[in-house]
This record gives sequence, C-alpha cells and structure tokens, in this order.
Amino acid sequence: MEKEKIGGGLAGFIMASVMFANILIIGFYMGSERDVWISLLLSLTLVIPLILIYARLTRLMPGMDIYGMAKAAFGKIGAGIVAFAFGFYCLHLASLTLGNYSEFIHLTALFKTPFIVIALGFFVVCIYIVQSGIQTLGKWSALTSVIGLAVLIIITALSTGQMDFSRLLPVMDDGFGEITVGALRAVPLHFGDAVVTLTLIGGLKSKKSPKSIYIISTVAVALILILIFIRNCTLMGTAMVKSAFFPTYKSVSLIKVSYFLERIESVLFLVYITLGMTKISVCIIGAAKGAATLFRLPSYKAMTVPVGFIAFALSSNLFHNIDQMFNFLEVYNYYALIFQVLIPVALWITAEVKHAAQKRKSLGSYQNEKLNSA
Amino acid sequence: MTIFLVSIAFAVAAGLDLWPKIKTRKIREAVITGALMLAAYVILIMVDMDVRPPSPWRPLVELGDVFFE
Repeated sequence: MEKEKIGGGLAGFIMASVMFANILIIGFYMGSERDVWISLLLSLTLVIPLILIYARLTRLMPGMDIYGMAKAAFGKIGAGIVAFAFGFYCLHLASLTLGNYSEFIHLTALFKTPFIVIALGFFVVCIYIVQSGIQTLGKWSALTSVIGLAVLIIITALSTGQMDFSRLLPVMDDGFGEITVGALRAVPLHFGDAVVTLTLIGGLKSKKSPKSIYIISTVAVALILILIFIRNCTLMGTAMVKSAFFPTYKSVSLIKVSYFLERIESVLFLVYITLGMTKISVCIIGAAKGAATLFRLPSYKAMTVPVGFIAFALSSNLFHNIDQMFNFLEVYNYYALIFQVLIPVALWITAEVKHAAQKRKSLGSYQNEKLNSA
Repeated sequence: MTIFLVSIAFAVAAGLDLWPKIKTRKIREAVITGALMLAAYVILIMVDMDVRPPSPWRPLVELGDVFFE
C-alpha cells in the first residue's frame, strides 16, 4: 500500500478535529448536569493513558497504520478480522457523523431541502478531500481548527455580558457518583473516536513518538469543551442545556450584543461543517484502508468512492428520527469500547511481548558474538 | 424527483470511478468497486421506498432500549 507522509503537528490537528467534531452537534451527553466540567476534567485522567497506548503503538511499530500493526501482531487471519471489524467501525462512524451533520442542517436551516441532498453535498466534498490525500486533509484540518478556535473565542467574548455564573452552582450537588459516570461516558463519546486516526498514523514523517502532540491535542480539546460547556450553561441554564437537541447552537443563538449584533449562530455553521468534514474524511480513509486490506488491494484510494457511497447510503438508513439518533448514544458508549479500547490494548500487549522477545534475542546474539570473539 | 437526481449523481460518480479502472485493466478493483456501489445504491433505493434493509446495528439499538428501560 502506498505511503503518504504528514507531520506530527498536522496529525495532532486531525486528532483534535476528530475528537471535537461530534460534541458540537450532540452536546454534552454525560448525565452530570452542571458538573459536566468536573466530569470532563476527570475523564482526562482516563483518556490520557488510552492516548499514550495509541502513541506507544506507533513507536513500537513505526510506519504502520492499525491494519499493518494487526498484520505484524496477529498474522494474516488476525489482520483480516481486525480489518473487517475496524473497517466496519470506521464506516459506521462515517455514516453516523454524516447523518448527525445532515440532520442538524436539515432541522436548523434547510428544513425544506431533502436530507439526502444535504448528505450528498457533504459526501462530494469529503470524497474530494480524501482523494487529495492525507497531507491535504492534515492542512485542511489545521486551517479549520484555527478558524474554529478563533470563532469560539470571539463568540465567547461576545457572550460574557449575558453570562450568569450562578447557574453553575451548587457544585457537586448530584454527588460524586454522577460525576464519575459522566467521566466514563465522556471517554467513548467525546475522546475515544480519536482511535480512527490510527488508520493514518502510518504516514507520520517523524519516527519519534507523537506522545506529546497527542497529549497536547487531548488536553486542548478538553479545555475547549469545558469553555463551551461553561458558556452554554451560564447562558441557558442546565435545564435548557439538557432539553435542547443542539445546545451549543441554541446557546449561541441567544447571544445579543447591544441592538446591532445578533443571530451570530450562522457563523457557527462554518465551524460545524468544516470540522465535520474532517471527521467524515478520516473515517472514510479508515474504512477504505480496511476494505483495501480485506480485499488485498495495493491502494486504498480505489476504495474511497465506493466506501463513501455506502456511508452516504447508510446515513439515511441509520435512524428513523432524531430521538432514535440521540437514544443510540447510550448504546454507542458500550459498542465503541470494543474498537477504542479492546482492539488497541490487545495490539499493544502483543506488540510489547514481541518487542521484548526481539530485544532478548538480539541481546543474546550480541553476547554470543562477544564470547566467540573473546 | 430527489431520488432521480441522486441516481444520476450516483451513475456519474460510478462511471468516473470505474472507467479509469477498466481502462487500465484493473479488473479486480473494478469488480469490487462496482459491487460496493451497487450495494450502496440498493440501500438508497430501499430507503426511498421506505423498505429499510436490516442494518447490523438495529438489534444493538433495540437491545439498548430494553437494557436501559
């Protein structure tokens, strides 16, 4: 399979975009009402070890994506099973994200335009990005992340006059149990999707571990999420945040600066759509690489269009209505753990064992050589 | 009308993707691409006809509903 190289910084931007994309649409689906910010901080302690495992995998098996790692660790049959399972997960995540974004645009702005036409628009741009290569995707994600961050800071600054910080009180009213559950939910829902970037990691330019870049991205995403939550909560109150389908969008629609600046939520569309496209593109690449591994094709690019078409068709089939879409998040918490935790941890343990055995073997042969020469 | 336009978009994209593969005689790639695209189109048509194909995660959703209620 061909290799496309990207810098560690761009990989960090891609990872941050993937973590960040869905939460803007679905909101903080974590249960612990006004203590979500504590849950997010707590979830960092759970996510960072997971991110370190992802980074360690790239160090142990440099130049390989997750499918190559599976082949090196489990052999051909194991790699086939991982390619099928992980490819399916990427395809599912692509169709879920495409469905979420199309539904959001359909319900908030283009309600007379058929869902399928909105999804088709997304699909066409994402396929163009994917066909342009991983490096273009990295540059695109860097640009959109910077614009997104600037928009977030400007919007939050404009909303400070309307914020009511008493809405965050009392702190820890629901008890530590709820906060812990919220932290556990945040891992698969808001941070764990970063596992799909392991399908691109084979193209990292540097052979050094991207550990620090990954950690910086994760901590930055968590801090931005806390800022967004505090803004939403202080503008709308927890009851509204909990009942609204798209709380971030709703809270920004309330911002009014004097009598001349309002309805600035339309600016958010730019951020939403561009970040969503990054995530969908990464998932399509992941699924296409899975299909190429499964069918033993030399290039994943041959599979991007058909896999993208399946994601597009499935996005309109996934849920009957928006309620079902949000109910699925409960199931997703458990379903995603197989791909976000189980497969990478199994790969990591196998890789560590093989690495240790190889090290022992090379040390043994070195000692033998020394003895012979003496 | 919508599905008609989407079908045309599908056909154009399939043609653009398949033709270079056929031209360079990458028959295996072309067959896999064609089969996957056909599967996607069948799913799309079934959705349009309101005949939803059994999706592999629908049982998961139903299991989740039972479990959490």
